[in-house]
Amino acid sequence: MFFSLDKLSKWLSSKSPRKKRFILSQRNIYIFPSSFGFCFLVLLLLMLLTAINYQSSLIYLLTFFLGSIFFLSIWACFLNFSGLIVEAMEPGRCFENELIHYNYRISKSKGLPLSLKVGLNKENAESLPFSLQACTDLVLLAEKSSRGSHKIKRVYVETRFPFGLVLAWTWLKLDAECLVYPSPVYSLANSSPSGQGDKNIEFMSSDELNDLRAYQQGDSTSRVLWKKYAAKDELIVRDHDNGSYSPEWVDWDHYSDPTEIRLKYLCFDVCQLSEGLNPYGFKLPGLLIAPDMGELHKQKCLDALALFDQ
Amino acid sequence: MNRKVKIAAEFMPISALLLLTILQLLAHQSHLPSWMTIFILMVCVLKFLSYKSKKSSVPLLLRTLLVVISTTVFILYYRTNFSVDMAASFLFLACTLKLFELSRKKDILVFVLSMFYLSSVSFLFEQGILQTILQLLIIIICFYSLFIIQLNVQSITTSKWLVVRLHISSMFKLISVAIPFVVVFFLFFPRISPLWQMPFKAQTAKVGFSAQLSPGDISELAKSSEPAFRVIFDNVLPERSNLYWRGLILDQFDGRKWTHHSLQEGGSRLGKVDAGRFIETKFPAYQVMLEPHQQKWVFSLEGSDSASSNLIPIEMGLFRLKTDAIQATRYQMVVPPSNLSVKLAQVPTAYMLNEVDRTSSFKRQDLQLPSSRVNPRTQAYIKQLQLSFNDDLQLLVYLLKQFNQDTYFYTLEPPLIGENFVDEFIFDTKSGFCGHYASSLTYMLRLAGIPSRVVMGYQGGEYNRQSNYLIVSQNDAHAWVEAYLPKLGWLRLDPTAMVSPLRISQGSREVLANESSFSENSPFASAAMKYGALNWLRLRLDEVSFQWQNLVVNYNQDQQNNFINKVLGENSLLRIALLFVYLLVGFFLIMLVYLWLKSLSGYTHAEKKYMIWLFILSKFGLKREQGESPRAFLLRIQKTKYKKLSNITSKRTRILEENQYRDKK
Repeated sequence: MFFSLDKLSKWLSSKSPRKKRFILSQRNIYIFPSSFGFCFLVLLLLMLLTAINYQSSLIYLLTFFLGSIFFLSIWACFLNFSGLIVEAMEPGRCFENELIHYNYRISKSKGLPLSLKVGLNKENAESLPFSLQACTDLVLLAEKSSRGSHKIKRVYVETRFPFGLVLAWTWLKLDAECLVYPSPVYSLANSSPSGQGDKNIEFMSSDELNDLRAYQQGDSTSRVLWKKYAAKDELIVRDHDNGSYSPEWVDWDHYSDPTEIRLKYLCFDVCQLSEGLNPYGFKLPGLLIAPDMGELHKQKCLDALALFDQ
Repeated sequence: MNRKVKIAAEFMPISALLLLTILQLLAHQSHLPSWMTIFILMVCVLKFLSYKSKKSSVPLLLRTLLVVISTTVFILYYRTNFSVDMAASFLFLACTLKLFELSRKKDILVFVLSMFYLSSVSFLFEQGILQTILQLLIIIICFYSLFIIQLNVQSITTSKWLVVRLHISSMFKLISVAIPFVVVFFLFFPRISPLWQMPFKAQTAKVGFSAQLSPGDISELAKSSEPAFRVIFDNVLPERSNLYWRGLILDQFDGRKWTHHSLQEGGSRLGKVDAGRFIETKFPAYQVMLEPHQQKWVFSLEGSDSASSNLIPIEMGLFRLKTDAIQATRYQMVVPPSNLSVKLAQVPTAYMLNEVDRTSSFKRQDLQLPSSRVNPRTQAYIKQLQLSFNDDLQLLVYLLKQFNQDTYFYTLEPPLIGENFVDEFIFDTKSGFCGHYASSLTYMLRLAGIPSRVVMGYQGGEYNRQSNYLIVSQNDAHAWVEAYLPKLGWLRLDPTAMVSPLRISQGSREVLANESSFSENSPFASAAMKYGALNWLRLRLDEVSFQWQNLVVNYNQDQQNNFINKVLGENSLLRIALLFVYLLVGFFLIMLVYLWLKSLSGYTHAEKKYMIWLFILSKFGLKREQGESPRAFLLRIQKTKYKKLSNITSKRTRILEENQYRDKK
């Protein structure tokens, strides 16, 4: 019976729309005695039989006491569970061959989220440790998967609060996402674009030398020419506001391999260049990202790779 | 190691579980053999040490050894002696051994479940109020353990502990909400007769007398002040010297020991006629609340008739319970005036009795004598007396008066007597307890050819004035004589009253308090006898336990029937079912209101009133949009056709605004 209830709840949740944020209420909470609860009920029956056969008032009393607590714990379990807020956070990001992770947050408007178990399915739901935060950011891990955008199928949340006698659970079609980047692969066929970058610093033209100026407070450390500093002990900064410096490009047309492999090469290039000091641009068929630097830029480029042709 | 194992091991409420075991040990003390008590304590200490030293568990070898030893001793101790206390002990032993195997969460759950069952089993042995409080404590600790496991607290910091404590207090709130449910269920849940006969009987060695009388038997009882039964009289309390509670009749004598030969059912009329509950009667009546003594016999005044369905009348004016009194048992008796005993002036202490004759053909049993080899001096003495008296009555009076005129002593600690018990007592030692006197008088009467028998029961009692009931304690135990004279019928004779008239008029407490062994097994009661304030406290405590027995322990089918008839007018399943439905609906309504009030908490009075008004408006299809200010909403309503509604809305809005934007000084 419990098994079919579980299936029913799963099926019902699949009919509901996908949402970024769920507030648990009587609409999406299912509640049923847990297996321990059933053992407890069998015990109560045994106690009742003992009370009847030995005509013992006090055993009756004890049985009713335990029974009432069982009944009330259904209510307490529901109260604890309802009002719980599960929301999808920033999409998770990972490379192929890494575990997919979905970011989500569990919070409660009143009180603490207590004794919860969360998972992508019932079998490997994990208990959340007791914490004092009314709001906890958490990560769900899933099996590794191929490049692209992955949506969570459904999230399973359960609680056995307060005594483990009753189980309240819910299946949520949470709109949590994870972007899987192609795994970076170094292309032997092509010379590394970052190699040229290194050359640039050593053989700078006179024009480029004009862009150099002394370090001022507030300049980014990434613009400091550390080689010069090592040689001459003076802090020289490259000033490329005047735009004459030519950026690197990660370009689809650099390679002629099949799409997936090409994307892997491009991914490698992006990773390589983002570690360098130069701004780089990014070109895919139908997409152009202007040269820039920094984590956000890298992420934009990699997101584009993950989502290409999907 | 998987995660589940880790959680349980890190935050196992092990100290709570150990405490549970110790408390449960206390609760089961009355029936556990002492070797088991020691063994269980040992296991607890071992477990505690291994827990303190942060070792994962007690070494496997030691564990196996303990299991093997304890089961072997258990089997040797009980052999095939199946009883409830064997089953309970076995369950307890298994639980204790489970303490070694609490590494997983599941183990703790199984442990707690078996603790619940052990709690219920303990009520088969003890039903006192203290036992109930102890069990309540155990149940709360059980739920506490379950709760802590659920919270999944992996490490405790001070701030965490504060929050956990808060939740524990809410757990207690939950438990206290259970109380009204428990009361309703307890009162109304239909009590049914046993579905089948339980194979095991609860047997505990309780203070109380056995179905035989040897010299020294009753003086053992005088060492205890435990109550034997308590009595409420409907009308007037009979005179103290007339409170002879008959329990057993002993009619078989072997020269030293009295036993009972056989008892036949039958006799009383009322008990047969009334099949059901307590009857309404105009006769003086009394209710007895019998402490469990694991036997069937009950105690009643002379001439009583049963008015309870749980009694069977047997011959000689005695009654028996249908089942053993394994827990406090209540019965009601009536005394029809025609049955009352009448004082007989010619014979000291004698009363003429009604309705105590045998119905069977064993009348000769009242003249049975042991082999003539024992007690030769007494035999000669009686033969000689028979020559000087030609009347049985005169002989009887003479024998009784002898106890008073000769130098007999009434004492709890008579000297030990050898083979010829009656001879040595009557002629040599001359000091004894009531058993000695009753036993030897009966023997002498039988020698003289007067049918007679020993009656065992209680005499007197202590009256609790504040709450009008009589406490009859073990030290009121008494033995006296019934003799038959053809012209007068059955007479109650009390030789003890001849030796020590105070025993009957004042009670054993007054007479024997100076003897060191009196009440020595009940230190509190014996101390209370010396100090007035303590005695007051003792009587109050006795009252509490009496009320507990009266109202809770003895709430049985009869009681429930009376109660339901009084409350619901009729005891039918339909009415009870309806009552439960009403209560359930009531509970849900209260909960809804509670939830709604909770959702409103944190708002001011004006805000609450405004929100209630919004709720009413929404029933008219007027809903405030998200982000719409009260003022804008008011303007929108004023444009609708509802004039009256808009008037009230404007008033509510004004109050709200005044309240919100007023200067707060």
